[in-house]
Amino acid sequence: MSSNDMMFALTPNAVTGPKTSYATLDVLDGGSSPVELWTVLDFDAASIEYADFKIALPSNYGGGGLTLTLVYTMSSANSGNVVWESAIRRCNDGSEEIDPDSSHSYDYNSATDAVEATVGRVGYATITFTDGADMDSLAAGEMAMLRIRRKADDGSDTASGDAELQMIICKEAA
Amino acid sequence: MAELSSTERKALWASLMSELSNSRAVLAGLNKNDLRAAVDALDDGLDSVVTTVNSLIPEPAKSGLTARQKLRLFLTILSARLEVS
Repeated sequence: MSSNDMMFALTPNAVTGPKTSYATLDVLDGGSSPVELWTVLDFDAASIEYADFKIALPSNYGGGGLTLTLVYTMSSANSGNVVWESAIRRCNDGSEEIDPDSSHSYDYNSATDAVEATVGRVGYATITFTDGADMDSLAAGEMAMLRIRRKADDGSDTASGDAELQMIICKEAA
Repeated sequence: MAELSSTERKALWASLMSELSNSRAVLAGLNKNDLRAAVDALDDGLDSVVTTVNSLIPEPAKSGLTARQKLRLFLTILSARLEVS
């Protein structure tokens, strides 16, 4: 069943890792009075950086797959593309070992998004997951690791400077 | 003075983009490949600039200063001009 229901939303402060090659938590000043502080995760343009978030799907998830929207701004680029990728690691009861003894091979889905023509203007990139293996068979009520990365070494990732992840919005696919 | 290696150029390019990001300096219409091409071209052409710098220095400074000292003098003047402009 496909619902377009809201599953969850994540802010940069919810990031949990990874231990290395991580996007840097930063703050972007707004222009209002008093000045807003927009927390962001800075993803480098020259090397691949990651951000991990612990997630769970709510009980109203109906098996329709997921639409992940990455809300972002650019720190200096007003042309080119950013290649965003995302993968899910299911942590199901009595099965998944998550300590250093056990490695997981993340299977990424991607989106190549043209950056906004004005620095600081918000852009939305969309990554979709079909239900089942594409999202590591994650089911409602289970913990998972959501991993986001900017694929800076991809030939299609041409935008210069940092991509600033503002928020992740996850809905069940429409 | 040898050209930078590919690894050194990449590090410089990454550092430059990081600096521009931190200062939120807009790179109008330039993508990261354009910026990398600029780094490569400048490093490629720097030897001829060094030759020109050397030819501009009058004697006895030309013969008295080492190559490194002459470049430091050039950088000092360049930095001063950047500060003024």
